[in-house]
Amino acid sequence: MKKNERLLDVIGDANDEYISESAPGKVKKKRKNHSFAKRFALAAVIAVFALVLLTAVTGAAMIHHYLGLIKTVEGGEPESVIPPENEDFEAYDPDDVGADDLAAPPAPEKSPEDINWASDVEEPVGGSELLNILIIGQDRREGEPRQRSDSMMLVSINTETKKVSLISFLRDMYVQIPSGYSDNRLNVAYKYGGFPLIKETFYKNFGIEVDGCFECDFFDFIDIIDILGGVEITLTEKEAEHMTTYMGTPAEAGTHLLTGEQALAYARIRKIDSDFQRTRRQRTILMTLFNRMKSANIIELHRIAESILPKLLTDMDDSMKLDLLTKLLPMAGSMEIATYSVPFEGAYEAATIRKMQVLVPDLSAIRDKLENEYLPK
Amino acid sequence: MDDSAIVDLYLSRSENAIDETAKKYGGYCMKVAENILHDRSDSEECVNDTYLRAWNSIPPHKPKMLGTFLAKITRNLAIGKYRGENAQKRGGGQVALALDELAECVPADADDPAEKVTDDIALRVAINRFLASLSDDARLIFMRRYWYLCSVTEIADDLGVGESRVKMSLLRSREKLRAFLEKEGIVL
Repeated sequence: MKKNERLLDVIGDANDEYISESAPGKVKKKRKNHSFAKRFALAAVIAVFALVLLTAVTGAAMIHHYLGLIKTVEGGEPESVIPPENEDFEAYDPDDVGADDLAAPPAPEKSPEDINWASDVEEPVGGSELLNILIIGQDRREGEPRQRSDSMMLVSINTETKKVSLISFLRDMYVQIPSGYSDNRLNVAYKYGGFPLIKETFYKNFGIEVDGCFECDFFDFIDIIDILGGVEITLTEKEAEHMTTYMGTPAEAGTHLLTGEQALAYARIRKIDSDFQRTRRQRTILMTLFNRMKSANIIELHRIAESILPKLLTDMDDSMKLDLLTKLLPMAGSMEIATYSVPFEGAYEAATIRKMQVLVPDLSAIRDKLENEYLPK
Repeated sequence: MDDSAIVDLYLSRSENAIDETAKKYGGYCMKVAENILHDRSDSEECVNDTYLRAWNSIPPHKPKMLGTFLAKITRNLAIGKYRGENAQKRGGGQVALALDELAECVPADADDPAEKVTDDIALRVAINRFLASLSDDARLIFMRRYWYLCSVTEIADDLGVGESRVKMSLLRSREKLRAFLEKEGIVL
C-alpha cells in the first residue's frame, strides 16, 4: 500500500468526538458578512448616529479606549531574551528561496572577518525631528515566543511637511547585532532581544533612530482586508499563475479583487522571484490598503480598530501612543507616501557567510541614500 | 430513538435494529459513502453492507457513539470498494485528490533503511495527538477533507467562509502533520 493511502486509512481511526463534531451538516454556518447585510443596514444607520454622537461627546474616552486595546510590552519582554551564547545561524533554507535567487550564481564564501563595517554614526540619519515607527511582521501564534522577523518596514513621518516614507528592510541583510552578539541576519535581532535590540541594531547599522515599534502578524491583515471588502491588486503573469491555487479559478494577469487570504498569499510569494519582489508586494498591499482606508466609513474604521488593535504589540506607553495619534490624525487625509527598499541596487553584495546566504550591505551608501533621498524631507 | 436503545435492539438480536439504524443514520452513512464513491447504487450497497457489518459486530462491540461507529465502517468499506474498482476512472472523485494532498504529509524516508514501519496502534495514537493539537476550526476543516472526503468548495459553502480560507487552513495543517510525523519518527 502506498504511504499516503495508509495515512488516509489511519485518519479513518480518528477519535469519535472528532468525527462526530465535523460531520457534514452538523456545523452551523458562520455568519457571513453579506448574508446578514440587510438586517445589518438599519442597525448600521443607528450605530453610525450613536458612534458620531459618542465620538463627539466622549472623543477623549474613545481614543483612550482604542489606544488601550494595543498591548504594550515596555522593555520588550526582557524575560524572553536569548543570550549571545545561545545564538544560532540559520543555514540555507531551500524551501524559502525564489527562482531568481536560484538562477543567480552561488554567492562567494566569506568569513566574518572579511567584512569591513562602516564606522558608527555620530548623529541620527535624517535628524531627530522625524517620527520613525518600525513595523515588524511575523507569523507568531498566541503563546508562542518571538520568532525571527519576517518583514521589517520603517514608517518615517515628517509631521511638518506631511510626507511619509515606507521603507522595507530586507531580512537577509548581514548586519552587526549589538550587545555582544555575532554579526548575523537582520531578522534575528528581534528574536534574540525584542524591541530594544532591534532598535539598537537599526541605529548601529543604518543610523536610524526608531521611536517606537509595532509587532503585527501579517495574518491579521486578512481581517482588515475582509472588513473593507477586499483589495484590488494588479497581478503579473507569473504572480497570477502562482495565485491560481488560492483563487479557486485560474487567474490571469491583470487587476483582481483579492480577499484577505488571497492578499496574504500574494504578500508571501517568494518562490517565483526574490525577496526584493516579495517586499515590493508587501508594500503594494499596504499602500492599496492605506488608500482604501481613507475612504472607509466610521463603522468600517471602528470594526478595523476593534479587530486589529488587540493583536498589535508595541513598546510605546500610553502617552507615546497618544502623542503619535495626535500627530498623525491631522495629517491622515493629506499625507504623501513614497515607498523604498533597503538595500538598493549597487549597495550590497551577495555572500555565503557561516553557510548563510546573505546580502552584505554597503552601510555608508545606504545611510547616504536614506539621508538624502529616502527619508521624508 | 436513543443510541443506547438501538444498541439494545442489536444486543437482543431484534431485526428492528437495522430499521432504526437506517432511520437515524442512513442519510449520514450515505453521505460518507457518496463522498468517496460518487455513485448512488454503489453507495447504497456500501451502506447496506455497513448494517450487516454492524449486525455481526454488536455484540461483542457496544459502541458508545453509534453514528461514528457506523460511519467508520462505511468509510472503510467505501475506500476498499474504491480501491478495488479503481474508481479513479470515474473522475470527479475526491479520494484521488485527497491522496495527492496527503502525499505531501508523508515524512522523508528515515536514514536507516532497516527502520521498522510504525505499527497501526502507534500510528493511530499519533494521528489523534496531531488532531488534538489543531485548533477547533483547523481540525474541523481537516476532518471534513480527509475523513469525510468533502470537496473544498463544499466545505467552504458549508462553513460560510471563502475557499481560499479552507485551502490555506488545509495547507497549514498538512505542513504541521508532516512536521509532526517527522518529529515523532513515524515511518509509514
